[in-house]
Amino acid sequence: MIEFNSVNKIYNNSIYALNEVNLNIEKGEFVFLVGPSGAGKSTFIKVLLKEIEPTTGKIIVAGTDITTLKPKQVPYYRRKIGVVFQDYRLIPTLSVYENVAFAMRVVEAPLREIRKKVPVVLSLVGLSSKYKAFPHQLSGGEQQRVSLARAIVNNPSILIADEPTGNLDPETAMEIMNTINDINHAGTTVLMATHAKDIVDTMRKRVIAIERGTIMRDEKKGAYGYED
Amino acid sequence: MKINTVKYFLSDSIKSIRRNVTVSTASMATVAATLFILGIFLLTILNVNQGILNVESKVEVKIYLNDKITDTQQKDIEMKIRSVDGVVRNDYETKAQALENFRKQLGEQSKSLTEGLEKDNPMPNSFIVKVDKPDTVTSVVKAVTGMPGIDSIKDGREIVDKILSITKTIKWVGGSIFIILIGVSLFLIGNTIKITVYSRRREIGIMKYIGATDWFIRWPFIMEGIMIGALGGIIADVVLFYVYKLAYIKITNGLMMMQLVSPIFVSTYMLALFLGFGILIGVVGSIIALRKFLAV
Repeated sequence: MIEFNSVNKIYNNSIYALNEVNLNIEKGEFVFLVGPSGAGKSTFIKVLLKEIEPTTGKIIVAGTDITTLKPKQVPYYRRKIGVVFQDYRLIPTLSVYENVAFAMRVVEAPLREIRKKVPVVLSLVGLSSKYKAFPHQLSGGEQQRVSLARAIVNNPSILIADEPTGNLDPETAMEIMNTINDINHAGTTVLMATHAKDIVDTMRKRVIAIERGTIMRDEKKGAYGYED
Repeated sequence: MKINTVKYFLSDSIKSIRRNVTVSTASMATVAATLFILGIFLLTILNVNQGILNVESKVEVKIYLNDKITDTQQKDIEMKIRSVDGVVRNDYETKAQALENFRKQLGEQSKSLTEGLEKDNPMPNSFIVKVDKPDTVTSVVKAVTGMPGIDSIKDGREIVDKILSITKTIKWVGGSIFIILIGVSLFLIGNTIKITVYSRRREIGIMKYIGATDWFIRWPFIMEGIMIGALGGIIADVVLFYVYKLAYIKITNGLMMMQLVSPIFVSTYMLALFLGFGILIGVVGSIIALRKFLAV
């Protein structure tokens, strides 16, 4: 599903944010991306989203080399990927329902389909009862659920989560993880960057550790492996 | 683009205009002012042009004949005049007719001035040549100059030249002011759009992650520009219509002879022109503003 071939990202001619990264993530896998701050996790996600270009190397996603995509093709590529962030990034002026519907409007889905799909996804993340609420009326965990609903409403084949539990208390974090796990079980490939030792150690999924731009570990059923 | 999406964009743009009422109003007012001034100049030029047409249609050459002219000389001159292309009419005016006309022009009160002139009529016999356009005047003058029996030649080119030079000045001054104002309008609309884009940069970021195409992101802003421009155009036209109507009534009442462009022209053709221009300013202004902000 996701393949990195000798990917390098060099800033200012000398700083390696990614250094000869080679990896292969299969369809339906659940992968934790771990490592100290500034190790290259963000760069990894950014090149995958085509927010920045790698200096050298190939990135193949679902059979397409995304480093050769034309600017016009990028939006269509991004539709295959759902993204959630640590800070949720909801639109404050839109209700829960509208925030999720927004993602479908952006890809110009028919109104009928939007009306049908949004309630389904909201019930999937357990927010059916709060569809009228606005982001500021929700707890952090609830906001992250809206963000998850928005990320999956267009049926992406990959879900990228950048520290999705970073702002949440452990209990809420675990709930969010259960939801992400459900999404993964439904067939979506999940790539999650995290600093949450408990979560990684509890879930026992594949763990890829990056330090100074280099992959140091890549273990099936791995552990967090840092003191925190 | 789907109708559903267009509706969404429209409501989005209206919301955005409402959110930044002050700035939106300012740029709307600038567009309106720009177009209003354009309209004033356009109407001035159109009316002056119409005036010229009136004058031009009255363009004539007067060829005053010597009292001692022979019949052959007079025939020769008449033939010569007829041979010039563009001559519409050639009337012979006798001394007596000329005096009669002069008296009419002076009016009843000044009758005494011309009394007794019949015996020694100072007015000359003349040919009054009517031509199709001012250029023909030159041809006629050239053709007959130097022919025996002609005392003097008088033509109306001077007046036409004067009017033409005045219109030229009006066009230049109007054109320059208009260009400056267009620049200001573009700048203000651009700024309005920039403020909107800035206040919604998070939203734009989210749209990009979700996979919105650049045009999907641009459209609401462009529509906002279009709405501001179109509204500005309508305001300018409505104001201009009433102002012009007032001027029209005043002028036509005072000067019966003046043929002015009808106010209906302002509420029809000019409305279309203003709408078109307003929309154009809106589109160009917002595209310029978006270029920097949306570089992906």
